[in-house]
Amino acid sequence: MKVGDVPASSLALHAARGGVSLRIPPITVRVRSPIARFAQQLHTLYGAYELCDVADLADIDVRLLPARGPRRLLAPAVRFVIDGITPFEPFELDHALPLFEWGVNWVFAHRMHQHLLLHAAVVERGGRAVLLPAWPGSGKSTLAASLAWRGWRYLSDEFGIVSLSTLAVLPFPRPAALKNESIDVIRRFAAQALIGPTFPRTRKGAVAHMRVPDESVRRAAERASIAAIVFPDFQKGAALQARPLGQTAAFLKLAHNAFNYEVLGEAAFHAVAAIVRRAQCRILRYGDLDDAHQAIHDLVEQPVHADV
Amino acid sequence: MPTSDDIVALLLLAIKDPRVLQALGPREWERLLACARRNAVLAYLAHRTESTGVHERLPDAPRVAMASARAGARRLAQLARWEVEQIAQVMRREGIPLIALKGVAYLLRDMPHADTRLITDVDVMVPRASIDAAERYLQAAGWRTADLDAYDRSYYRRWSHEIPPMRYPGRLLGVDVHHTICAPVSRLRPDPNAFWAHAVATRMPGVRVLSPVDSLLHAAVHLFFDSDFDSRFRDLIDLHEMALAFGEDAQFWPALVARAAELDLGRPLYYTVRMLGLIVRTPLPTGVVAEVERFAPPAPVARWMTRTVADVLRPVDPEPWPRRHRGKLWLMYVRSHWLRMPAYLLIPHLVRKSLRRAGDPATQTQ
Repeated sequence: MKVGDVPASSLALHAARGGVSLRIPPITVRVRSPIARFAQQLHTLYGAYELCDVADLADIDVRLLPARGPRRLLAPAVRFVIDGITPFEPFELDHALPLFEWGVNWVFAHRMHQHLLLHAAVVERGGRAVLLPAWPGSGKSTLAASLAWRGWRYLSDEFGIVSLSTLAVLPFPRPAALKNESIDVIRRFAAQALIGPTFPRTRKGAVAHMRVPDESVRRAAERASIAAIVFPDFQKGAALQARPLGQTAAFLKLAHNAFNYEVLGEAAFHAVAAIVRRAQCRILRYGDLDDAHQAIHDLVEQPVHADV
Repeated sequence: MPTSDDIVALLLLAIKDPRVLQALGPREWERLLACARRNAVLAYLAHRTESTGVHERLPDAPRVAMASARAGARRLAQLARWEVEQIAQVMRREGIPLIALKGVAYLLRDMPHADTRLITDVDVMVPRASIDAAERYLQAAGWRTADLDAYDRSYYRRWSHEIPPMRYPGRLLGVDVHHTICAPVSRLRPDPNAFWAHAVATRMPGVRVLSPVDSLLHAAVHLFFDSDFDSRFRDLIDLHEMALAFGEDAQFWPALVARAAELDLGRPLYYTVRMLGLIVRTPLPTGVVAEVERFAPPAPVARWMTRTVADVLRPVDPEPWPRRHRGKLWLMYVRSHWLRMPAYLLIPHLVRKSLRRAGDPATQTQ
């Protein structure tokens, strides 16, 4: 049964009692919260995900609870509780959803050391995955979210999860966190995109979440091999330019930005080295999404190993 | 649905005998993993399953979760080893002797649980006479002292047994440089020279560790005379592992009792023996329990303290929320300050701390 198959009111009731368990491959997340509006937002954004039995083992079990205390009468807030601790400052009560998204990312990055966790958005077409590594202000989320409406499968907004044994990338499709101007860019770019409420004044400015296309959720267990690594470099009004990036430079950028490169040590070194050897590495400067799409399309249509 | 007591009992049992893990259902597993994480012993539990050959026979999800926790802890251990080596380079150059304490000391001793601890700070000790020089040399080499307000700074300078925490910019682990074992004004005042006299060399040049007996006493003082009893089960495991490893030497326990009497550290040893027996059920040589009775406080205090300390040191089940034992933790906080400072210092200090807390939004929403 999918989240969207139950009424939102019933999801809220379950979330407030025993919790609801969502299968977000490759993990199961249980969430408990009495905040009805948050449950409603989950229902909208996670409608296509499978509901699991709450008795099954959840990899991450979070609670989003209203903070208590005298100050909270004036400024209601929400806390993120994981394993009985609250690792972050509370957010304002209406921001439960961004806190959930951000908190789950934080827990995931601290706990999933069985895989190499690169900091990247990931899309795939024809079995060929493209990593879009994070690079401050680079626009990886916008690029990945827009590709999702032009024939690409959306694998992840934040984590390039790489299997250490096969070097395949594992999807972890979660709502794309669009920030500031990106929200309207995607609205204009894809009328069919379902975008949740805009949360103003978060730590990263205004944030809104784009629901993952249902097809990408349905195929979330399908791995893909990494064909290209594209470091996005969005510049307003810039002409398209795809510069090849040397393997050494690509290695350093990927390794430096990874969540758990140091934890995995030698295994991570070999994995990152193998990835940059096999993949096409480019720095993509663009001012227009359609141009960028064309460049990425052309890149993966070339035979792999072309520039090795 | 297992109760909190069931989960805590299961964790304690699994630490002693990981074979019990082979019969768990998914919900029990999840509660156990959460409980082990909450008490910072998941990597330790993983190590226990490995050293008993149970690890490979566990279901996928918990096995992977444990291996992952183990990898995270190993990374911290690697950083800690490296950090103490960096400090040692400075001290060797300046001719200041150095003792590694706690986590780093367990690493330098190759204790089996050393790389399962979630190390956040590197603790070292230098002679009292060298403390100012050591701080200057570390600052000259790039370490920086944490930003503190004027009150905290003067508190450290006047009443503490360490200088304010330092950190090398960009590094994960902090550095605490101590110049003695306990706060200078506390009711326990073992002579630091006695610890220096028995310290033993390690394979890291210029870095010594306390003798086995003194290591255990030091950990006991820091557990039972500290202000924060929240989530200290981890420290009880350190005592447990020391009791097991050092206890292989038949001379260890008699020497420990004699040394505790000599340094006037009988009381922390008494609590160590009681809590290891009550909570972890560490196998202790017959006679030790009776022998440390002479270090016990008067009977009514002993009864109340044993109960309270056992409650707060036992692993915490994270499932119930809000957390339990908040009142008891506060009493232990006041007690530690009572032991650490005379009343004319203590009362203004606690008033200041609580006023500051009232003005700090971060601590209001517990």
